[in-house]
Amino acid sequence: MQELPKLGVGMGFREVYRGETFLRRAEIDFLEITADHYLDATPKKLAELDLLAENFALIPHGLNLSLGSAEGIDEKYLEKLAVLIEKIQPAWWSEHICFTRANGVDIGHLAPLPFTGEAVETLIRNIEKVKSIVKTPLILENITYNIRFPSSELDEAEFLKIVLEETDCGLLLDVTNLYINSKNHNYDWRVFLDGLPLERIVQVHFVGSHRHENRLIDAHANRTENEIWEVFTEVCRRADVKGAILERDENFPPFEEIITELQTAREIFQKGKNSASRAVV
Amino acid sequence: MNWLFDNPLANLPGPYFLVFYGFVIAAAIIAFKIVKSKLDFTGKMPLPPIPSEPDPFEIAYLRGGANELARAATFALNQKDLIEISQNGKDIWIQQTAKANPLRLNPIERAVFNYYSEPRKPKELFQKSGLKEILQPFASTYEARLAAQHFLIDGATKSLIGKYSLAFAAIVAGLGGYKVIAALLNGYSNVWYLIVIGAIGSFVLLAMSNAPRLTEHGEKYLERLQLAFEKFRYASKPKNQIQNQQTATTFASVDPLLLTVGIFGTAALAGTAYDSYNQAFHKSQQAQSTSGGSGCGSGCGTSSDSSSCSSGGDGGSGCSSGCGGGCGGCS
Repeated sequence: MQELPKLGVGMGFREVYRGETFLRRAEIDFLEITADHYLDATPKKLAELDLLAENFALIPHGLNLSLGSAEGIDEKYLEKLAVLIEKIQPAWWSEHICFTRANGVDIGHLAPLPFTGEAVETLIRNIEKVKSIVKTPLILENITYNIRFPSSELDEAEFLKIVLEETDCGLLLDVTNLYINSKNHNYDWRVFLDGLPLERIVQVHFVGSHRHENRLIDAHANRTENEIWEVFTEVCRRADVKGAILERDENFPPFEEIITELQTAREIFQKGKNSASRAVV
Repeated sequence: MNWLFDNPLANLPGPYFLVFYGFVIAAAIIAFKIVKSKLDFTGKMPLPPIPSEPDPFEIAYLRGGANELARAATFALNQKDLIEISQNGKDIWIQQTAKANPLRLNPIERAVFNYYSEPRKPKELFQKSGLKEILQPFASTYEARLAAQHFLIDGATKSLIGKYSLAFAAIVAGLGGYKVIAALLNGYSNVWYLIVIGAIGSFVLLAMSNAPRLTEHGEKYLERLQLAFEKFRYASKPKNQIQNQQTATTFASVDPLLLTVGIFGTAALAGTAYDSYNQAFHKSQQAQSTSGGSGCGSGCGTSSDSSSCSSGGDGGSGCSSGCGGGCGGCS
């Protein structure tokens, strides 16, 4: 993963901010696009993709490949994804460690996997299939989970480590998801980081969490809070992160607030990069 | 001489010749279209990036020439409350506001502000000695800059298109004329269909000699700008929402609403807090149309340079270049 380029700090592209994104281009190092929006796209969406590709470095982020499905990968979906990735030639692309499809039914949700050897094997099998079609480096994202399956044989960090090492994939560490899981399941995120193969962290997602009753939810609808900046800072300090993306999907604020968050992230990112270099030496 | 007027073509019976002639005219039109498109070699040029500080006036000029520059520049001052639009009976007037205090104006805005030191009717902007003429030095600068980026069809290409048009029209007229002479020499006098078809064909070819204002490269770039800033269009939003939106998207160097006018034309203001500005030009267009104008192109200001539906543009890049609401954009 060390050979991947440093892309800097960017944001998930959102149509509502299209104009502002261009006007503030100097403050956005790269964009993450939701791959699914461009798979069966209208001519207008394809024109938008061309427009974005002409003006920004793009990273496609998949939602529905369902890497954890025991029934295997949807080959038609994978073919479309491969065409998209071939078209925009990104430095890497990403998907979630989860399943979104069961017995051919799309469940419309990122569902967590049990942390078992069987789930690891399923992921390895599916990811090998994907990598045989798409040669661009794949990085995998951790998701949130409301329940921890009783059948789990591993803790999450062990599970991620095995999957990443067996598949030789990078990690897209969603620090918000990490923080949310640590609070909802009462563990120390620092200890969790200790168990991760930090050299495999390629990219980071960040955004604010949302509190609902006694639990935190990854609603992607709030400003990044201090606790999550703390996780972000620690990850940047420990790992040679190549890119960080603000992942806001709801409750869109004035764009100035987005820019402010990107500036904060950039300051942390730039400091982290240096400390990571020193650590390697 | 006998062979000249005694050959299979000259002796072809009238109805068959008319069919043949129709094919020739269609082929000439298609061939001319192909030649015309080949003369524009810019289609595969890489597009420049979207500027992070786009100049709304330059984009307005790209979209519709000097008329659109005048409209956008007037809107800029209207937005700054330096000029106001008032109605006196059926007449609409634009003039400086009483409290106008223009401290920070760029040269274009300054020229426009001075122009409105006395009340003007919207249609005056585009007449002789009107605002359009006052802005000519700026328009020339934009023209040169846009031409250097291959966004505008150059004079040499326009001239070539005209010559090809003449050549194809001459072929059509020549063939028709030849057949008319041959028919008359052979004692036939029912040549009116032939003359009418020949005249129509030649006319169509000559009419097609109007070169588009923008190159394919320029059209694509304008489309890219329209896509990039599409969300800034506030059409049909009520006033309170617009004000909120402005708060959300106002940047130090680029005003999104002015940029909207530059990119889409004043028609994009319909239904917004600045609807009166849109209406002012819309009404002037209607007034001109009823007094002899012929709809969209003729009503937008000048009689000499707005030959298409492109928001009253200067020579007609056509509606495809985004007049923002079709002929309504001519306002």
